[in-house]
Amino acid sequence: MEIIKFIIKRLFYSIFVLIGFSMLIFLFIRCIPGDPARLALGENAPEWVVERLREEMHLNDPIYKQYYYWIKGAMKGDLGISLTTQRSVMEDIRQFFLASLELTLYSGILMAILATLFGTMSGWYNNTWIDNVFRIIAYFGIVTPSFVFAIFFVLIFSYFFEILPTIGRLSSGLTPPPYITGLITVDALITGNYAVLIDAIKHLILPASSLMMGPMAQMARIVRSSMVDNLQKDYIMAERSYGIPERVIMFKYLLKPSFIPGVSIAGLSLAILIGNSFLIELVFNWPGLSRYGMNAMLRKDLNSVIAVTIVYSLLFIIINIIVDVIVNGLDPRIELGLARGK
Amino acid sequence: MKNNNINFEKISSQRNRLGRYWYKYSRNPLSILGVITIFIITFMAVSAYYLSPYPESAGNYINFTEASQPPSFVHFCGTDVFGRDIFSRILFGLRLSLLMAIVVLSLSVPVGVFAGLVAGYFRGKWISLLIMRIVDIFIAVPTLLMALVVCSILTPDVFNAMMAVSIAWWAWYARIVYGVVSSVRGEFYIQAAEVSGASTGHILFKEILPNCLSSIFTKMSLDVGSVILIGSSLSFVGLGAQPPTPDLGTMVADGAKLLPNQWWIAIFPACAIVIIVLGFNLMGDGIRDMLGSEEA
Repeated sequence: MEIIKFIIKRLFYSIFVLIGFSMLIFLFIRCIPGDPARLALGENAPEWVVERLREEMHLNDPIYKQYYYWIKGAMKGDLGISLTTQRSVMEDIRQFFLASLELTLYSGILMAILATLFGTMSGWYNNTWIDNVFRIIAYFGIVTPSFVFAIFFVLIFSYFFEILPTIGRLSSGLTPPPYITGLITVDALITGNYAVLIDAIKHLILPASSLMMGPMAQMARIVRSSMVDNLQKDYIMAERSYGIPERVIMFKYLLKPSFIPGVSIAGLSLAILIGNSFLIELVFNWPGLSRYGMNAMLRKDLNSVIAVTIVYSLLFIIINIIVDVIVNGLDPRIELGLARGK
Repeated sequence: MKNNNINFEKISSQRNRLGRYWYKYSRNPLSILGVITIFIITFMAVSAYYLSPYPESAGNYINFTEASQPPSFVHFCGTDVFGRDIFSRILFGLRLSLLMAIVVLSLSVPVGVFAGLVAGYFRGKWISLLIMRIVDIFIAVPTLLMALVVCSILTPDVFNAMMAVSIAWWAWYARIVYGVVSSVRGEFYIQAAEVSGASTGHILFKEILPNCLSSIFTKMSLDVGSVILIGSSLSFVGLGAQPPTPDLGTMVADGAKLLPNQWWIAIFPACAIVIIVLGFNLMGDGIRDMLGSEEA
């Protein structure tokens, strides 16, 4: 009950954050010299066409009126027309979002698995060569930008070994499975089309791994350090002196408390992951929302930029709420509150 | 005479403190490695003009007879499609990366710290609520995404990229300082300052700020690397430095199109980014251990 109350409170609060954010972006745009209508139509468009678009976009009205029109539309699910695709932004988002979600989802899962594995191995064997190897990997994970990982991975796995494809979600010879969930891997699994499934997974490996290397390394480091801390606690020593087998100590008593700090930064890790996806989808030509947003940014298609940012902020807010609920489930001593973070 | 003595003691105790800090810092060989790396990189960046074998490569220089050459003794890191020496361009690119870190931190830290101080001190008043809600808005969007959005609204160039990263960055400082200030807000020495009629400015900067310094410095030293990473990401997508300015991120992006045949164009600048960030992170970890604060 407490949790439901908390979730409702947080969701309600996040609406204000989103509204505040959209206001902020509007203000920014207004403060910047330049005419969105002129930008959309190009240098050579005749003045009266630009004027008509300006009128359509309410650009001649004062800023608060523009914002009012926008938010009125947004409530009805109309986020304006994309100036690059000439379609409704909402439609574009619907088309591209699932591809990004699929990539982010697998990347996040991979991140959690590897961070746990590396962190616990490193913590359990701390100050041995295993620990040192994992720590060096983690260090390079943190200091290397995602696009550099992407380039190294492509160079090694696509060009040198030629085992993994570099662009897109599916090879051009294959027909995508019928639309059921929108996630190609899941759809292929449901329809039993294993050739497509394997191909889709092959396409996912490189972008998903280059996305998650940085946040994974950060998470692994935190799991390691909390594991090392916990190993020195009295209760572990007591269990050792009782003669409880090491495996049992590790899996039954040590894992859970060591995970909590790792889980509580998961929100931050996923934020980095989402940010990275803007670069990675561009590099791998992944037909997702981030690539769409990136292209919109490069062409100053502001309606799409605002919409994409708001979609991701919403996703990020939901992720944070889920993380808080999980942390509370793992450690009831941590109280649920509006104050997030450490 | 007396005065001189006091000053002398003060100086010597300060020296002792510095010595103690250095002792703590130098316990870890990796921290030393970090300092040496940063020192070398800074030296290379500052004297790029004298160190680079082909300083003209930094500009709009075209020499097709030397174009797309693999690494050799003449060109350590090869040349790009215009025949510009990659090694020279990396040296000049280091400058922009370091400048990025300096400008972003010196813009965002004072703003964030001031906002955090005010919000923490006037906790419960409308000004504090307003500031912290604005902070929440900035933190609700992933940092890289925020920087990308702001940068895309502005005209893409180096200084706008720095502005964009600063705009995305200040809120974290505000939040950290807010946390520290709220915890010391009720202490007796602050009440004492209040009842003795000290001005708000005095209380904020002389009484409260010193408590926050170690958290701020720790966060700053760890942030240098992240700022450089984000800066290079912005220029990688073309929202940062514009050609022909040598910038590591832009160089990686240009080289990425020519993989795998002309691998050296992308790989060497990429390694340069990794080395700079690695150096700053090693140093940052050393400073964190030295100042002994666990957060950030």
